[in-house]
Amino acid sequence: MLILHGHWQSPRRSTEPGGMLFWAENSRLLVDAVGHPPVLRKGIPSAHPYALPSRRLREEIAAGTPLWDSESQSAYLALPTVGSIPVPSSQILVEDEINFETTNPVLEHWSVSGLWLPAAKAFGVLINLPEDSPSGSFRLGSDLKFWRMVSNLVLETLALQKLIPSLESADILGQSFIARWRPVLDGEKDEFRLRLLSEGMPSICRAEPLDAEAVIRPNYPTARRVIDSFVECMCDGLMRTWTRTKAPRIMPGEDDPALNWIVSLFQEDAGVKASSAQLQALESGLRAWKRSLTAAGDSTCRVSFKLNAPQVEPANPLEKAWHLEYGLQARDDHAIKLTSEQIWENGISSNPEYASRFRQPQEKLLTGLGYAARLFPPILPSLEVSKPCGVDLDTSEAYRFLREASPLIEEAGFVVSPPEWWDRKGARLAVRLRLEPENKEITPRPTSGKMGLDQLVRFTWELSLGGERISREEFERLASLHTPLVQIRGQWVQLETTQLEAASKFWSRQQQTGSMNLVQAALYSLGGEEASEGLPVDEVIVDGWVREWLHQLEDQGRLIMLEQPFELKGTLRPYQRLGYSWLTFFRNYGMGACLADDMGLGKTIQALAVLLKEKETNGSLPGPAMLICPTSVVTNWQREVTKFAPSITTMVHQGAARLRGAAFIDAARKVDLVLSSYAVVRQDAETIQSIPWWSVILDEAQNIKNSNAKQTQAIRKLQASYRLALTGTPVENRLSELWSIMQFLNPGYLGSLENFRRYYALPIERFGDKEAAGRLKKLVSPFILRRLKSDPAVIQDLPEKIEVKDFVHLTHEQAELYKSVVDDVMAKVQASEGIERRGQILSLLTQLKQICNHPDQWEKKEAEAVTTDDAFSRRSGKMLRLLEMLEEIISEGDRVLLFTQYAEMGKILASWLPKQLGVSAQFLYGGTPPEIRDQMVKRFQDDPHGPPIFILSLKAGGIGLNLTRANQVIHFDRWWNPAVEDQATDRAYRIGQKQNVQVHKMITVGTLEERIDEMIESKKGLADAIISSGDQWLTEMNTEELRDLVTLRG
Amino acid sequence: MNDNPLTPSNPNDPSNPSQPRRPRRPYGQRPTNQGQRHDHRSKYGISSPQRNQPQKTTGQTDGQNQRGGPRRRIPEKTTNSSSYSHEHGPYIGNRRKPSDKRNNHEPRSTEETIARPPSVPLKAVGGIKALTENGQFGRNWWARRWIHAMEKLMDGRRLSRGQDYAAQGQVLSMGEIKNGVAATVQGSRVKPYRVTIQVMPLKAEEWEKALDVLASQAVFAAKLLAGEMPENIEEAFQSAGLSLFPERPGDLVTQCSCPDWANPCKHVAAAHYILGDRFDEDPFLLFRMRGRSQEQVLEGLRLHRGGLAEEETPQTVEEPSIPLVSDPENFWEPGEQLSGFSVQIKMPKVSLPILRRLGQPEIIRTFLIEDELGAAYESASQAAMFLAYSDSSGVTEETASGSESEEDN
Repeated sequence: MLILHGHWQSPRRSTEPGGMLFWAENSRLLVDAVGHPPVLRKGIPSAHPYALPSRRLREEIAAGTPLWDSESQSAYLALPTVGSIPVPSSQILVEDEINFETTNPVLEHWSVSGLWLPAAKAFGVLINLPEDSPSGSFRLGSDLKFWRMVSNLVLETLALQKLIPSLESADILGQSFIARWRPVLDGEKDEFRLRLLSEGMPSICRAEPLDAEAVIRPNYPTARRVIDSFVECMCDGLMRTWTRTKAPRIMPGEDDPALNWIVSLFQEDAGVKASSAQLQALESGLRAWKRSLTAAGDSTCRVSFKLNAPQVEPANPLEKAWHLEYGLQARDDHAIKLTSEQIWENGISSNPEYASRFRQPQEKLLTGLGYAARLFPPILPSLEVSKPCGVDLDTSEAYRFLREASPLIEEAGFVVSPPEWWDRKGARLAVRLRLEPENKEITPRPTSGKMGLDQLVRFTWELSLGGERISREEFERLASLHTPLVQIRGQWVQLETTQLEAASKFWSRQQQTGSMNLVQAALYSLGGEEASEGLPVDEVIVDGWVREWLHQLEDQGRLIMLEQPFELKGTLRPYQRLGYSWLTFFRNYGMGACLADDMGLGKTIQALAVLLKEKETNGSLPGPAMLICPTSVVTNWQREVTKFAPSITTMVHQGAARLRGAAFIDAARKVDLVLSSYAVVRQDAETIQSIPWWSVILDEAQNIKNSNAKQTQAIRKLQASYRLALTGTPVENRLSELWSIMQFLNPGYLGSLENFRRYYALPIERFGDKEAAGRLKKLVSPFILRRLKSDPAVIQDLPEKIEVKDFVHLTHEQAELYKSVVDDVMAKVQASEGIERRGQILSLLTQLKQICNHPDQWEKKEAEAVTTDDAFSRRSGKMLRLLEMLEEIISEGDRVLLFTQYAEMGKILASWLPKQLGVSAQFLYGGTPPEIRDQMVKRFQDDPHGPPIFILSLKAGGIGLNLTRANQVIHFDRWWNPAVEDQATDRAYRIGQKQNVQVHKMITVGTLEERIDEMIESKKGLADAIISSGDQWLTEMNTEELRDLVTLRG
Repeated sequence: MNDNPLTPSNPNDPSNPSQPRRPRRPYGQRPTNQGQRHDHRSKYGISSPQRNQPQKTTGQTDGQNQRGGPRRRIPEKTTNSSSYSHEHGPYIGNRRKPSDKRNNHEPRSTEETIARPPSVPLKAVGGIKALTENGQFGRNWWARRWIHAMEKLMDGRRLSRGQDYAAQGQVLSMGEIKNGVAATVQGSRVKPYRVTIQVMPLKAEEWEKALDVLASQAVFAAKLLAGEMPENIEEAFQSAGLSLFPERPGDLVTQCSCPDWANPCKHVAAAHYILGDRFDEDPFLLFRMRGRSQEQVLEGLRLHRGGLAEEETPQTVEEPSIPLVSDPENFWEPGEQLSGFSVQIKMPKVSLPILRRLGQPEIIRTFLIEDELGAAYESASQAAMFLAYSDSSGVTEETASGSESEEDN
């Protein structure tokens, strides 16, 4: 495992580009270093003991990237150090059995070597690094992740063209000059964002001492300085790289210093060819030029303009009834303001709050006014007095200020406060949408189940202004006024040319009434369509049952709680009844919904309740339902249906012997529910698509997250009047997954994938766009119901301990192996007697259990011999399922104890899981030395960054330990004695446990494991005493009993 | 003079390396929108009508002259410029100058109207050239007002020689001294002459009178602070019975180390023209020459408005150097503040926002900065958008099918 780091090195001289040193910590080397701690030299920093040598780093990650051609370099970095080893940056690096003491670290300087790239090239690498390496071989360190955030700021600056060309002296004497692109970070939020970055920057980013020689009391750069250097160098480097072909052409020997300066902005060598006197003159001229960049204020305050509208529209539009007010506003706190009167009264110097923010307020205001007057000349007359406070404007001047001048003034950094109605809802021409039942006479009863997919809603578009509908005549009258600002019913409104034109088109083009389906109606109602033909959609007015429907959609609290279906075995917990009612609501209106409750909250039973309800209401289902889930849980589903909803007839469509074509269609029509897997649906897509399903239910719906995959496309083509998705992962945070699931549930609702990525996914995921996130949330949250185990409403409904059996299947390889071992060893058992026979039986049982775990455990015996790559994962049904479960557990932020009876398996899991899941895991077994054992327990219980997965051997970890931080327990393989398992479970489920504990027992269907489970459940013929004696009693079985126990069924 | 960039060159001329770039249109025809410079111009929505007109001046004043001023250069240069214009003709021809609007002037040719003076200065390398606009020195009224003060004191010949010097870059350096500037000017001797130009300072009571008038209207301080010389500042001084610009004999004190008996000599004149350009950059320069620094003037204005004297302003404190922490968790982990960080990567509402805010730099008279940098801004902006929104994270069909190949049993 590698943790990849990026260390920004500021240029030492202004002529250098600056660059990034990419380096990596390596877990193997860490193990070696712990085994043989290096001896530190005094004075000179030693080489970092487990940083990957640059040659190997190049081999491992650089191929195909600019890093391949980078130079090897090293830097001195101060790192927290214990003993003679730097503390690793991440727990993932710490493998088991390493006793790594992290108490009392001190900072030591280390020489860290890696690959160095100049700014622009480093930027390309930084932006394009995958969050996780495809093969799981490296992860990004917190420093790299940090610089990726800052890189987004660089991209924003370049995209917004907020750069200024500058000429800077490259030496103290001002003899030579360089041309530079400088970022202009003076936007409203820029200072705030730079402060966030400075405060949140991990210390590693500033760990290179400013003076490498200063070993005693070294000095480190401030966070702000490092960030500024990064942003400046990246902007300059990228401009040079990206715009090289846009360089102006000049003849060699051109003697215009200004033109030479311009050309140097495009060249690798930033030096400007001209004499120092010429450049000094040019520099002073450019400095004057740049001065108005700061005309609006400084880093603490800005000049502000506030336009006040008259209460009553003046009879004469030339009357100067509007007032533009001058003032100053603090940057960090917009509530801290100075009016111009206060500024002229000198009243602020006594208040430190103000004095620190408003330095030289009179000069600030005057500078701003002097500059703003160029953009808006009506300011000029107001400056003829000694202490200007504002200026009176007539209506057309006011409009010109609002529409034309204020964008320029704001862009220049001033604060502009227009009247509160300006560009707001109501003050502009807008359209609104009226949604009504198509037929007002009929109120559909939500429980009748009669409403179909194309339940239509009548819509009417209206033109509105000032919050009121306006008729065509009124509109014509207003348009003929030719005044951009008028009062209507005492309200100021804008009548702008572009909007008037759009409105004229509205009358001629817009289909003003018609009908739309509920999905479209939901889209408009929830703000998904903000404009129609150039006019903003101000309001959606709903009426009749449409209003009722919308209210229930937006607020689950308004749902009618249904009684649980008659036929359901077992009782729905209150939150499950809510979920079932919610699903039924969607079913009634023919819309798709996603139930995304936490694992273990019973999504299955809620979904089954909906099917039962439908069957109860109609006597039968309107058509067959199809449930699609991962191969590993098909059996589980079947068992759950039998247990909770035995009246639902099912058919499993899986395996090589499954029905095909017409035979399948016939059979499917005869049952209520067909259970199948994603893989099979893809393979049999044509047949399955030909059936008009009443419902399609996706379990673990994240399986269709890749919307381009054949499997997803096949599933999307299924016809169904009611679509339902179940998932335990937080879909709302994984946006491409969210789109794909929504596209299945309500096609078209979130628009095309391309637009969705452009306007929602990328801005939110990459750039943290809060506004887009808010809009999306409003749009999708009505369609997703997610309850967490930790919700207070849920927690009180849950028992303290929930035991679940997870049934998994053998893979083909495992099944073949299983059968051949049974055949082989059974023959030996038959042919032997006494001790040998017992030995054979014990060996048989062990071998079969190993095969159920993974073929490699049986085959390789030694954990070290096993390669845990992706192919490895696919060879065991149990491993695959474990991975799915752990993904869900980790994504919920839970911690888990994972018990196995085999130390070898524990080792395999400990190396395999971190790679697959990207979190650390630790393994405790009989061979773990006591002090490390204590440390593991401590790390798991107390360390906020401790590993979320604790693998324990049943024997060594099953007793004595207190591991209450775990709220999930998985028994990876079964032990004959349930008491031993319970004891192990009690490591988590004991005093001190504050959460509900979920216990999962993994059982391989058809094998010995299932048989053991049956026996434990029934206790038939098994006295507790016998069971507690372990495997021994099994060796006393006769051959037939034994054969019955081990033969693979199903 | 055959400097026309559009004059066809001999296609067989082997010394012409740029033959393929020769303009495809015949002379005089309206340029089409093929050139890249033309393209981006329209994109930026620059609406000035004459910019789309064929540039008549290109026939009269060649591109090089436009950039270097209206003066012809020494003969070798002219030869150079001929091959130069073949090479870069279409581009240079389109390079806009800030002064293109007024292109109906006949270019001044000093060589024709003024007899060659007896002494020829050594060619200066790397000197500062005066900024001229169609032969006019002094772009703003205050620069012209400044020049005028000297022109009254000099004979025409010296003056025009001084102009030549200033335009050719004979002034090698210039720096501020008390109440004026010191400059070095390359004359006919190897050693450059040393020139000083100083203005008589106003007396303290004169300043009080001037400040009183200036403080009565905010516009003076506002414009000065925004880097502009207020239009009616001279009237304001006059109403106080004073003059800001040198007016009376003895207001202007000049010296030169050259042997010319006349003072001001052409070297002083040359430096004087260069100095005229400096007022564009710093309107407070004249105030300093009159004896008051910018701070003193501003403070004086504030006091005359009835404001308070400036208190000790707290210096902007440098971010304190925070020592590194040794606790590994805080050392490696980012702060929670970062969750509040977000960016919005988008194109600007108005193209070239920074250049729009700042306008054309006064110091650059030979081309429009928007023309030379517009395409660069635009293409970097697009590159950033592309990088931000190109979808490298999307899972491809190929990788996805891997996860699907789940064994079916």
